[in-house]
Parts: sequence; C-alpha cells; structure tokens
Amino acid sequence: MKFPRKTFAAILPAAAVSLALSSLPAAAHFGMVIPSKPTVMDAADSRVDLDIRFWHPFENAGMNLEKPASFKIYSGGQAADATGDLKEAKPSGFTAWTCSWKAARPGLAAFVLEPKPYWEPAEDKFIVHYTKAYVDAFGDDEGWNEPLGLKTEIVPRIRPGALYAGNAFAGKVLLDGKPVAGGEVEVEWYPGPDKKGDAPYESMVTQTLLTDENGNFAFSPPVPGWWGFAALSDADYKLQQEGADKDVELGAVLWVYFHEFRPAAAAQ
Amino acid sequence: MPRAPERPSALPRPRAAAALSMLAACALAAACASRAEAHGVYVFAYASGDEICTESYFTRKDRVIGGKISMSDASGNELASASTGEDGNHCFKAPQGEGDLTFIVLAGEGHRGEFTFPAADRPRPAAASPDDSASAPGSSGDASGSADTSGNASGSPDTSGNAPGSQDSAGAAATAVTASGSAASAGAAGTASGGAAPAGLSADAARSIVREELKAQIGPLARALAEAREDKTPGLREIVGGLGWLAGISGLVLWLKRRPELSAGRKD
Repeated sequence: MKFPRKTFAAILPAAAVSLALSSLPAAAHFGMVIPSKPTVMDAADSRVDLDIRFWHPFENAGMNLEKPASFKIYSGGQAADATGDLKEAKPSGFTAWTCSWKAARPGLAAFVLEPKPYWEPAEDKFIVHYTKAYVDAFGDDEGWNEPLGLKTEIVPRIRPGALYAGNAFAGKVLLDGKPVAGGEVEVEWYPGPDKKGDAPYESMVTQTLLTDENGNFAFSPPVPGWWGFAALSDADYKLQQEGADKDVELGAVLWVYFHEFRPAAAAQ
Repeated sequence: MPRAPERPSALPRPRAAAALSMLAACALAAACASRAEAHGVYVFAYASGDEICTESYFTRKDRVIGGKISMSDASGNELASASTGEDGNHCFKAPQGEGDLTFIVLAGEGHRGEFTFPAADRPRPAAASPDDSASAPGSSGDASGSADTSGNASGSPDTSGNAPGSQDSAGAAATAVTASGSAASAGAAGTASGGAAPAGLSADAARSIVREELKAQIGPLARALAEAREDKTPGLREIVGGLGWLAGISGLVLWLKRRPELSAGRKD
C-alpha cells in the first residue's frame, strides 16, 4: 500500500510531534532513582548525586515528573526529608529532579521517591510509583533486608550491594507490609544517559514475572548496569479525574546495580 | 537490628571461636583460610574535634576487638598505633601536617583493612569544635582523648559499658524508627533514641554524634541546593504539548479528508 507523497508529507510531521509528546504506552512507566554510584568506599569521593525521574528506562524515553510528594533519605536508622533539597533538572527536555548526598558514616542509605499521582489517560488510571534505591558506604550495608515501611516496597532477599551481571536478584513484594502473592513485577534495564536498549521486538522492552505465594520473586539480568523492578498492585482507593473515580496503580520500584564480573587477576 | 543469619561473619564471637576450633580439625588448611576470608574487614575514620576516630569492623555488629590500628602519613610513615577496643574503635589525636592519612587495621589471619582519610577533612589540632564536646559527653572521642596514642586498650574505657545487649536495643529502636518511616521522621527518631537511652547510654551518645556530624556536613549543602533551586516553569511544556496535539489532530483531519482522493488514485 502506497500513500501519495503529498498526503504522507502532511501527516508525518504532525504525527511525529504528537507521538513524541504523548506517552508511549508500549514501554512501561518506571519511577527512577539512580545514584551516581552504588557503593561509597572512598572518603574523598563520598558524594552521591541522585537522578530522579519518571521514565521509560529501556528506551530512554522521557516523561515529566512534577515536583514529588516527598523524597526521603533513610540512613543511620532515621528518615530525613530531602524534598526541599530537590533541584529541578531537564534531561532531554523533560522535568526531572536531582539531589546530592554525602556519605559521612559507614552504613546503608535508602533513597525513596514518592511521586504525586500521575494521570495516564492511555491507561485510564493514576500511577503512583514508590521508588527506592540503596547505596552502601564504607563496607556496611546492614539492614538491606529490612522493610522501610513504605506503602508498597520490594525488600531485597539477596544483598543488593554485591551483585554481578548474571546473578539472580531476589526480592519480596510488600503492600501495606503484607506479601503480595501472584503480583506482577515489570523489569527494565536502564542503559544510561543518552543510550537506549535494542530489543529484538518491542514486546521485549519490558520483561514481566509473577511473585509466588509468599510474594517472592527472582530475576537474573544478562548485562551490567542499573535494573529496575516495578511490582504493580491496584490501590484499595480511587482518585478523581474530571469528576469520575479512577483506578490507581501502585508501584513498588527498586533499582539495583549489577556489576560486570571481571576476569581473574594474578594473585599476589 | 537482628543479625543476618546467612552471613558467617555475623556469628557472635564465642560461637565464632567455637566454630574456628571445630574447623581446626579440618585437614585442609587452605579451606580454613578461605573460611576466614569469607568476609572483609573495614576501617573507617572521621574527624571528631581535634581527634581522628576510627572504627574497625567485619560487619557493623561484628567489630574488630584488639586488632592493631595504625595511622600513617602520605609518605607511609607510621605516626601512631594502638589496639582497637571492645567496640573496635580508637581515637587518635590529630597529627600536625598536611596530606592524606592512611589508617590500617590488622585483625589477624591476614585480615587487613585500609582507609584513606582525605587531607581536606583533617581537623586543625587547635580548632576543636565546641559542638562535639558539648553533644557527646560519653563518647569514645572524649573518653579516649587523654589515653590516645599511648598505644593501648585504655583508649576505650567508655565503650566497655557498650555491651552487645545495649547496642542491640539501640539498634532495635533505630529499626522501629525506620519502620515508621513514612511518618514524620525527625521527631519520631528523637523519641525512639530517647527511649533506648537507659539501656545503652553510650550508643545513644554515639548516635547523637552521628546526627550532629550528618547535620554539619549535609546542612550547608542542603542550604546551597535550596538557594540554587530554580523557579518552576510549569506552563512551557504544556503549551508545546498542546500545540503538538493540535498539529496531530489537524494532520489526522487532513488525512481523512484526502482519503477519497487516495483510494480514487489507487484505482487508476
């Protein structure tokens, strides 16, 4: 089937513009909290910059993240509200946020984004992704398998600070502190700034798995980098959109870093 | 916080000793050695007033007791050494001079941890911050100040009160705070730490030092971030997005209008 060239020329720019500016329902939405480094071991390089987005990670396609409801830093047994420290950023022209943190003591830090509900017309529902990432400092990551008490969250069952590409990562999905049986977990790779993944088919951009009866799941990424796990549940409440009650999708998102496994070096 | 049962290094000391003596029967010395090296040893150092305090640990719960801790200058000259106390800690008087300092802990069986203390963080011997002495009456920093660098266990008189039990209860309090994380954090943390005080005064004091230090280090950064924060420009993207939709819809209309021509053209 051939379009006359004129017609095609008339459609193309308009279609391209509207496509670029609407969200892409084919790729999964992910809250993103990406630390500039997964581990701090050097006191002279102990600053961690956090890249906070609402994004399609694998395809590196942007969405706007309006100013989050909260951004918290859990460390040393305390949660500090860093919402006021968020700085607006414009990666690829989309609204995103950054925050800086300095590891001052040994210990595990958890960074948690709670966004405002995002209305997704294409799915006729709101999306709220509680998004978490960990950074361990100076050899201490105790507490990595303890829940923070979020509305919904993935609690690691494999130490997240020591993973190689090809290792399984395992976690437990909690909603209101209780395991989610048979829950859906979407998985995507974030190739990094200015890069996108190359999936054989569009249907392979997002991988999906289900939790078992105890809310547990495991997944082995094939390549190093940041991998996002989004455990999705339906909220037990509705939100109003133009006077109508709409469903709310709750996401427990966890970003985990997988290191390249290096070849053996000569022993001393 | 409960010990992580799956980590061999988390064995309480007496049981670890028992396990080691059992393993002594093991015919393969190499296997024994690899058991011993199944966890790292770490040393962390931080400035506290006119001292530099060190913490040596296998995990944060499993400290290096009676290990040799040494402080060297940038050219590798050992400036002072001491034994780590019951809690794995030792404070050195800050030496004169410039450059990075290296702290090395030797914990037996080939366990060696090293930490580079950046030159920029070195305290000036004269400029003891009044904050530290005021907020931490029972801290290891204060108590060991007089005993420091003389080389031995007297460096930790205060820490003998810091029995595992009291540490645990402080840890439990911290966990409780973490679990209630979504509630307002700072207030909750204060209350919980207060509750733990009778059981573990020195752990509590240590926590207050940590808090003070974190505040001191993060405070200016947070202020700078807040000052540098840009004003939000909410209108722009929505306007461009709206234009995109308009263009898209008019493109669609154009196409629909030309469809009869198109099919007519195809018949020819």
